Amino acid sequence: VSPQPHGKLPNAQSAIVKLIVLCLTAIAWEAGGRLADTPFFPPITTIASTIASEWFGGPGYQLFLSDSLIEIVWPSMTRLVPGLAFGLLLGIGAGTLFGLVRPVGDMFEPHIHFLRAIPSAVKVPLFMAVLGIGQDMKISLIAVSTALPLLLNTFDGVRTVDPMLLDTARLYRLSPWQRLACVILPSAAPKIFAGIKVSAGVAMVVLVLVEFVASADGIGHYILESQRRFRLLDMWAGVVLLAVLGYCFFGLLELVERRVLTWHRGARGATG
Amino acid sequence: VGLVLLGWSLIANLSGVSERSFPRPLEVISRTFSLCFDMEFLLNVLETLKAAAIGMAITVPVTLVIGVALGSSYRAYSAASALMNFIRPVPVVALIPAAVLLFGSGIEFRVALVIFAAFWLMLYNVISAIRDVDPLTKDTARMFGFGPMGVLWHVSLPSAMPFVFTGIRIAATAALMVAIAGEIIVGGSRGLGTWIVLYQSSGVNQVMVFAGAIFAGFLGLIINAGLVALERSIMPWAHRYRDR
Repeated sequence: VSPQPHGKLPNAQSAIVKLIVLCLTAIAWEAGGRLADTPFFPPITTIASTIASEWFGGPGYQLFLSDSLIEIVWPSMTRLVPGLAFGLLLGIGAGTLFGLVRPVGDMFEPHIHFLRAIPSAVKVPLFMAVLGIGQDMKISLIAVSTALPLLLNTFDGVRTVDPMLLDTARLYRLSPWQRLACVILPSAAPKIFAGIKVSAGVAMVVLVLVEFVASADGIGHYILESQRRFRLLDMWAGVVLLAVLGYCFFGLLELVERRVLTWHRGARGATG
Repeated sequence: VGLVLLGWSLIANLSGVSERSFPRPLEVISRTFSLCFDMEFLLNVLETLKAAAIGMAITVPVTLVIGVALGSSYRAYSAASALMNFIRPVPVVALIPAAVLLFGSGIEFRVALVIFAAFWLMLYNVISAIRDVDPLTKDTARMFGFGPMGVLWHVSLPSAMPFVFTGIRIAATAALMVAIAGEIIVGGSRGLGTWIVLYQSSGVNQVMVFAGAIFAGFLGLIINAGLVALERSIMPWAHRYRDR
């Protein structure tokens, strides 16, 4: 059964509708902000002009971004990128191991579930207690928090590889490494990617949390500090900045996923 | 379990971190256990649960209505998706400072955060659940003379319910997390998060931080298990979908 929805709009028309909705929302926000007339909820144009004046107009080699913007974003990136990288390695690595060596996986799975159940907000003071408030703590917290959901998904993906495929691979005398690289990981890839998307969201949340609580720079710190000094326009601008970063980040992930998993869509389309 | 605890004590002993900041497992377990009978602590937990529960009570019906509307009409969905794609990447925790300013540091701001967090998580599940309903079944119902509302009530909703419930479970876990996050960052008067921060910043004994974290983990698991049980009892047909 094709999942084709009823009454699908042509692309151009749907783009126009989307644009109209965005504009209406912006207008509603603007009107709400002006009517409410409190400094806590500024109209959207004021926020936009703050963003324009503070964060743009830098030299061309910085892509016209101003120094102050780079000063805010760069420290966050030095935490997010290594943390996420370690998290991906740990999650996919351990998940594959658990999936291949079932007794180990079954032994650790309940513990992983439990660690995941501890809210990330509570993990922040926990990690601070053991590792202090340095960069190590932030990176390892992001790494652990992102690894957990990914690990469970990878475990599940590796565990549920079609046994027929495995037998076929064995029949063709593929070495264990070849089996892993050519059969197991590709067929677990859709679940791994789903896990990566969850992890990416978790990474953003943890990054902001950890910068709220224990940091002297970065986007999270900027938002909280602006709030404490009642620079509310800056605070909202920080939230918008975070949204834009997240949007780009998830967009990038989608692109990578689409490239890597083209074959999967094809296979699903053919059978479904 | 035994092996993991042994590993924990080994790491704790070998790492050279003082016992004060990296407590040994046995002590943590006994403290966690004693917390279960600590009235003061339980009152704090209750406060957090209250914020999460009120938030969920508001979110679930609202999200159901909006989700069903967006899921049934592709036009509405495509119009709303532009907005959803912009709002979704904002981590809810980033709104904590703004929420405090708008709602004060009482229970209202935590409820507002819970609603915001739970709404988006649930909405996607409701929309895709409604969309995934087998068109053949819907057509059959239509042929038997059901109107649009009849199809929705007798076919779409029952078959979407299991997936919707999964959304509620995910949202409930997130609700708890957000409520605690708000308490940790803002303080507030009471709550599990406030309690943990109090012990963490006093610095005397980090055992309580560990015990509180473990308690929070169990709380999440218990809520999850409770919702699964509830799901089984009100929707016995869900199993067949699961097993399929």
